[in-house]
Amino acid sequence: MMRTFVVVGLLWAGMPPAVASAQGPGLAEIAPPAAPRIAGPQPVSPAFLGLASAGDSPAAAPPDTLPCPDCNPPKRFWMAAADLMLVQLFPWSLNYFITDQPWAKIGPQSWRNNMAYPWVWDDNSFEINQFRHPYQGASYFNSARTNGYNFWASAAWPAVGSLMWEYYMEVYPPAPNDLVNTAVGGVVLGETLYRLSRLTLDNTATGAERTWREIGSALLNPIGGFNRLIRGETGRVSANPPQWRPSAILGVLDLGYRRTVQSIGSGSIETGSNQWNASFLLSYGDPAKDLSRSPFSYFVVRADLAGPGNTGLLNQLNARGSLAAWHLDSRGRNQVALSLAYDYFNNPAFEYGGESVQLGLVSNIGTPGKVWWGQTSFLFNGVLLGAAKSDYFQSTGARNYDYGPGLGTILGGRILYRNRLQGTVGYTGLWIHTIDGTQSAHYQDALLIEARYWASRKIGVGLSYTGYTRHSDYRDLPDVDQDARFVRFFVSQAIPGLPNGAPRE
Amino acid sequence: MNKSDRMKRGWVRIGATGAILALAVPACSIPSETLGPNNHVEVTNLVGHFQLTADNIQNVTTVMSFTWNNPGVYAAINHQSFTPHGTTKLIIKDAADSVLYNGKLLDDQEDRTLSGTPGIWNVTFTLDQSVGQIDVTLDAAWPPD
Repeated sequence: MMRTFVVVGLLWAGMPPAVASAQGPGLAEIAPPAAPRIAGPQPVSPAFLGLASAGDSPAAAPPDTLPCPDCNPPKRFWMAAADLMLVQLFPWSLNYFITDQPWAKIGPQSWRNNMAYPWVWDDNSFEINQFRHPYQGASYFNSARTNGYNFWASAAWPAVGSLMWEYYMEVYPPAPNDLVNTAVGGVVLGETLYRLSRLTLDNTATGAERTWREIGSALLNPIGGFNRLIRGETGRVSANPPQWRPSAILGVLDLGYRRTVQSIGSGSIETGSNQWNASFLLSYGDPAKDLSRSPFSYFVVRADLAGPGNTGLLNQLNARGSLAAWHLDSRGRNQVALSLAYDYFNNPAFEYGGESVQLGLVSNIGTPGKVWWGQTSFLFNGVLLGAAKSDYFQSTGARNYDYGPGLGTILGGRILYRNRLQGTVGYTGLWIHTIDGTQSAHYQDALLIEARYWASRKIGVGLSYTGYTRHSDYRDLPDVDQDARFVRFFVSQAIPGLPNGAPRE
Repeated sequence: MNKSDRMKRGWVRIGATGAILALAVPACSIPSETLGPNNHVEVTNLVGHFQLTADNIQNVTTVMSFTWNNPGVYAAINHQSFTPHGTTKLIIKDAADSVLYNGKLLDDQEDRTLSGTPGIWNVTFTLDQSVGQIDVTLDAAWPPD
């Protein structure tokens, strides 16, 4: 049942940070058109999260006999608007009443100023602009999403919420980078957290299990948890909507050793270090058939941690969801897919964060589940706004990175033998043209070569080589070249595990 | 009201909010002002110590220059200003008329000038359509022995 999906998950787990995160659409072709699918709302997802399925709960009622008010919830515009205001007022109140921040002293004069003065790229830190703003946007998104609106209707709310914040909730002038990071990053993060929070919920559960599920869901999606609480839904027993459960889900945890070598100035200065490395990948939905369903029916979240080192613990964080897909042939072997992504990379070669739209062709060779199977991907990557760390720029505030749009390509090839041996090659190239910061252009590349062997349904081992390079072309300052190479050995844990029945030798 | 109507109402509200925001932006403009009594400008100008404060600054364009007796080799700068709009700069020249500092006024930050010639220094504040409040303190300083 799960074979197709798990194969896809394995391949995802094997992709390099930059490549894997950019190849969501490519997975669509892994599954054959006639591949068996898991039907119904509750396949394996609760178990993946370490939670019992609905049927395991002694107090659970037969789902078929329960009403399902969440299946088609009413649209509550004023409640959504109140939530959005709450999301704005909470941080503003903290900064106004507790920390007495001058930027929070808003009023009619500050509103007039923000209307009259030009927009200014702000100089906040990378963390504030590239993490906190998308998270705030996710809360705006879920103000609507958890009040009955679908993805597309909810997608407007982060933009509206961001404009409200920029104009009315702070004294600082509106910043274009804040608008993009909040509006676009908020959609990606918002729908991801919305779906994960719904996956955590189980309306049929009672008692302690129900409590912990509600708490877990609220931690993932606080505004959604707040709405369930005030509507009295946290204790109400009812059926789970089918859309709360993905058609498939898989997590893969890699733990291992990483040898890192980095160089500056075309190898003139080279240093190396030994690091531990942990990587987790969550693949939600069926990457073949869910791509063309509602947005984010298929998405991937990936996080990479490594240490010790001078780049920080978090090396990579990506969230990428499907928006739409079009089959080019009746068998679905060739597909054009569109996705929306939020990316963060931090390695010795470059630090980068941004939002992008990806469109491209994905083709399958052979058939999944048979002896050989392969896949190729040719994707166009349009970066709406990227933040690339600068070697020279330092604002009067905490900003030390350049902002600009960008273009890139993503090329990938993978092959799988009997669902046991797996090989992956991938390349990602990205060009960022700075429009605020140092007058420059940044060229960033990532190359991956990986081999992986699955010894059982749950355990595998692998090794990989990843190379990152950066060339920063500064107009009036010396250019900078930097690269980093990783050789990685790891043990993989598949959660909940690979399906039985894969053709192995 | 059926589902379709409710959806339409929601979209109309979102669109109306956006339209109001879009229309409001070009509708407002603020004329340029100079500093006045409402700005409570206070200057403390002592040997080795200088401070300028002003508040309630609203779209002010002006230049303020002061001579300051600095017996030190450089000046320690304590920025406590907050100027979210416009451009507000501080320029400091030493007794030899060399520019030792040229930068924006900052919020809650310590800084210092380059080393220069002790004596009568020139301190200039340049405001260009500035909004906010100014609080800058300069103190004579010497390199550690």
